[in-house]
Amino acid sequence: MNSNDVSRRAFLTAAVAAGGGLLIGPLLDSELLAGTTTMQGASAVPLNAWIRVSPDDVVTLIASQSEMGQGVMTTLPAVLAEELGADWSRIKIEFSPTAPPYRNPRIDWQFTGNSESTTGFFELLRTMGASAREMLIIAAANRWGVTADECSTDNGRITHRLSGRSMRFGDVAEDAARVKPPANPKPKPESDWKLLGKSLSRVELPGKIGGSAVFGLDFTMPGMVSAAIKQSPVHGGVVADFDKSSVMNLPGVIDVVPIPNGVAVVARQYWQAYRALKMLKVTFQSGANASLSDATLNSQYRSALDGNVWKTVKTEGEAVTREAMRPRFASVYSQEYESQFLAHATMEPMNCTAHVTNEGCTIWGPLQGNQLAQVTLASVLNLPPEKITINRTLLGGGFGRRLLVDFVVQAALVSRAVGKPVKVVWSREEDMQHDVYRPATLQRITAGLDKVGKPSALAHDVVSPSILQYVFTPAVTEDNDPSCLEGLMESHYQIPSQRVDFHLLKIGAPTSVLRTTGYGPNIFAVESFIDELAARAGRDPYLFRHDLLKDERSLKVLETAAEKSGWKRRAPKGVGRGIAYTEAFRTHIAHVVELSVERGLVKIHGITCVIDCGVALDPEICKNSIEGGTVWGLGVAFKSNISFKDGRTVESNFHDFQIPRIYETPPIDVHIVNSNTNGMGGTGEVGPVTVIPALTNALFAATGKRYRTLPLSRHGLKLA
Amino acid sequence: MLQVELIFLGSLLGILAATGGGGEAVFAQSRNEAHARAAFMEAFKVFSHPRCVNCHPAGDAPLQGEDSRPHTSLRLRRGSDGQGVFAIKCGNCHQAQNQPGLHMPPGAPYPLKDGAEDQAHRGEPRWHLPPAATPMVFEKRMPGQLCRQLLDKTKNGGLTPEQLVHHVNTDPLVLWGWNPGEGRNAPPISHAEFVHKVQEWIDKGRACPR
Amino acid sequence: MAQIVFTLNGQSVTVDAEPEKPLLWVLREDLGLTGTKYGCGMAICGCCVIHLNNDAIRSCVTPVARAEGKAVTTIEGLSRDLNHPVQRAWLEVQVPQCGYCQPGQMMSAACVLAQKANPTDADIDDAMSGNLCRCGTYPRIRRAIHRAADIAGGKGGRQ
Repeated sequence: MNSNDVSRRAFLTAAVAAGGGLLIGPLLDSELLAGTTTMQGASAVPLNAWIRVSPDDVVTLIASQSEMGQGVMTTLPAVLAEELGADWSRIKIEFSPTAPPYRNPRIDWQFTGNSESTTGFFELLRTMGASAREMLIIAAANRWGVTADECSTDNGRITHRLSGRSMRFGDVAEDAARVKPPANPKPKPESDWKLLGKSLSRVELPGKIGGSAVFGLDFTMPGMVSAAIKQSPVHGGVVADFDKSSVMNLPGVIDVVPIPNGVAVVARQYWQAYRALKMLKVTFQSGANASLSDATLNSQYRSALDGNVWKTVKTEGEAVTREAMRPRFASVYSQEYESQFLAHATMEPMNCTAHVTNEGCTIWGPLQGNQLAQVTLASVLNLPPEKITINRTLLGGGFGRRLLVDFVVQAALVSRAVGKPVKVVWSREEDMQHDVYRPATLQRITAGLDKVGKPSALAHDVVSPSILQYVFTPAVTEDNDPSCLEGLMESHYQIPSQRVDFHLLKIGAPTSVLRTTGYGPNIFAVESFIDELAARAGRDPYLFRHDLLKDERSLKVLETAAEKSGWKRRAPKGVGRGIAYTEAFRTHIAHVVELSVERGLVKIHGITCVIDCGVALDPEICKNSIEGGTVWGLGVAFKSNISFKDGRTVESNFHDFQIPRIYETPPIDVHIVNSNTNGMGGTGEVGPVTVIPALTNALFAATGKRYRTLPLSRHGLKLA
Repeated sequence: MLQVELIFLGSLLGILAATGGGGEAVFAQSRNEAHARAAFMEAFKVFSHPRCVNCHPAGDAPLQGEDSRPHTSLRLRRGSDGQGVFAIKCGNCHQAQNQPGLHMPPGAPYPLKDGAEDQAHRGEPRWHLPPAATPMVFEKRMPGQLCRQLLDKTKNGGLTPEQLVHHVNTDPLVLWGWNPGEGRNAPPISHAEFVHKVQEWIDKGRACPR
Repeated sequence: MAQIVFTLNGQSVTVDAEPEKPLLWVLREDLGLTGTKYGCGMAICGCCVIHLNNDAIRSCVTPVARAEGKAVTTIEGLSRDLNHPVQRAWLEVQVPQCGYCQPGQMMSAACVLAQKANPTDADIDDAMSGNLCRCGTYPRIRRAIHRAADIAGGKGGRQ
């Protein structure tokens, strides 16, 4: 989709209609960020939906994407600033409203997730920045009576190169806004980049380090009250009865109101609400999932994998089926792999503030899915979408959980019920037990092998519940969900016959997107299986993969990983190295893990990771993300697990839902290989994908044992 | 337990056999020793209970739970004074009283000073392991081992037997064992019974099981 | 309800609160300081760490009564202008991702530095084991603590 022609008019229309008074996102607190009452709003001139310039020369850049640690509120405005030639030290950043100009152009939908903030907006923002730059230049050139091609911008000034005359952006902003936006703005050559490709200091870090940063849970406003909520402990159950009088006399308590599947205690302060909720007499009706358990789920998955209800989602070459392989090939090899249910467990629990009046609904909160929230609230409250205003705070982690809008709807309903602004806060227990989990998957891969053990045919069967069902319903059908098949539909491995068959499993536990989505479990299976084939063929796992790959970027990443990890050096006795490679979220990534095992304790000596995400616009942010993703992956591999019993989630807090700690974190070495801005990829979710199979492959190398089900705690293994 | 009782019974019989036609004093002493050992074995039901073992570990970190597993997943260290180290000292999480709710940190206050609340430590927790020099390990101890350890002034913090009784009778950390907080079991005999048995053990000559 | 008097970031404050109310919620809701975070409510994640006198205590389980007569320091009061060595190091190393756990990380780190001017990696493992980071910034936290020790120049960050 060419964002230039299709949406440019739309952007300008939005900007003009807003009259420079674009809805201002409050709550951003560092000096670089625009405040709620910015008076520049009145006189700052929009050059387009993304850039405003004030007469006193402050450039305001609009950030469309929610900030949850991926650095988008720095890097994407930096794209605008780069093209504009702005003075980075004098910019302000503001979150966008929920409005058409800010939708991800790929699917025309505004959200932050799926590792596609950069890939979605990079070209668009270059265009918008270049367009604004050219408008400023034209205006300045007119004023000087020179031609535009004799002028350029840098550091917040337009300069006429020949004469050396220059003026500030602010001096000419109003004239620039009246210039017709150019038909084909020319992005700056990468070789001229001053901001992009460098590591910038993240704009919101001072607030995060000084304690003034406002996350959803921190938001406050005059007249606001707070609510603690409890949903049916059994998934899908409802409230049978509650007794308001059991808590109304407790200090601060204002009301007790129903919410979908639960109840909210409203009080002046959250702690009062939280305490009262514990005393509230409430009963629930379990409903259909009363006996949901790990055992019932395992049985469902097993029946599906052993059954014959399948949708063929991919065929390549002859697409030989598993059953048809035996007579055709020198040998056939088949294995099953299992990945577990996971909780998001964002450090900041679910919360949202809403104020519903007859006029409309205003939301303040840590949202990833702001358009979904707007559309859903419009329906729930019976208001037009324009009357729903979404203000985004910073997010204390997202990982996909905040793409859903259950917590937003709760806040709105409670606010409407009590007639005040209400902040709904979930306790950690509520958050853990009412997460919408990463679905477990059960997979079987079968390969037909030639005489030397190279795969000629691959048949991959995947059993998984839906990932996208609540977050992007249009993509999900009765028997298919594309996110469940990520990493399998296009493989870089040159295997002539390929097929993927899918069974969309319907289960009683709620499932949704979670960091790595389908890639995580799928690539764990694929990269484990390929490794098993290498071992069966008596071949080095790196060379075996190398022989199966053709794509230049794939090979470069794989080779660099082998080089940087010292793969070719002989490993000392008892030390095992494992490797894994894939392309996920359009980024090429490979991990090498080196470890040794003693009595069930796994000592990881080091982890090497190489990525090619096109061009890393900010190398430090990129590395931080991949390091963090690697740590996340270790948790998934070793200990994070969600289980079910009697219809409920068993785990309730960090004592039983385990994530890694600092003393378990090995040295992690990340290398960025830049290729081309034509091949930009995402990095937010890609870190965990290959570290997990690299780790289990390393365990095989060290111990001779294959681990095909996660987490490894099931096998008595622990991180040392 | 059964093995220990058999050893005890065996030694009792041995003593009885050895007295042969001997003096009443010897018999009285051996009867006292039997009583003392029996009393200690009752008290041992408390010493070996997770409530006590968890803070009298063999290693450098406290244990937790009915199954005496490693304490949460923090990497805790005793420290030289038993109070923990750095940013996760015992009193950084544990308070002067149990915090309400399941899985919440238990707590205990400073002992009374001259019969009244210790003003200097008002509201402060006193929650800790034995110091490194005298770790007073209960974990995996056989009754005889523990018994001798409790009496050894170089190992028990310099306590006389009378002071030992006073400790188990009044120390808030000991008392906590019988008020351990939601979701935790108390030892199988009451605190009063426990103190009574320790006193009896001392009074009857503080003999130790073999 | 009781009146509890303590020093907060260098200023004397008097709070009317139930003595058993956790200090975390007094700070956040009665005193308007939201830098100290709620993450788990059971002292296991470390988001709520503040300084009580010189100790890094977990405010989500600490009754406000325990603060009586003591000095409470929150992340907002760790320094003026972000110039505590820990904060300077955190900025230099660009530690935070989402940032929600970082006030607790920094308060724990500052406590460590005050006790040991040059903590080793093993010290860091022990000292910081009680602070969770869901984003996995642990490698940077480790680097930043070493850097903070350098910046503090052996003075342990005392200001």
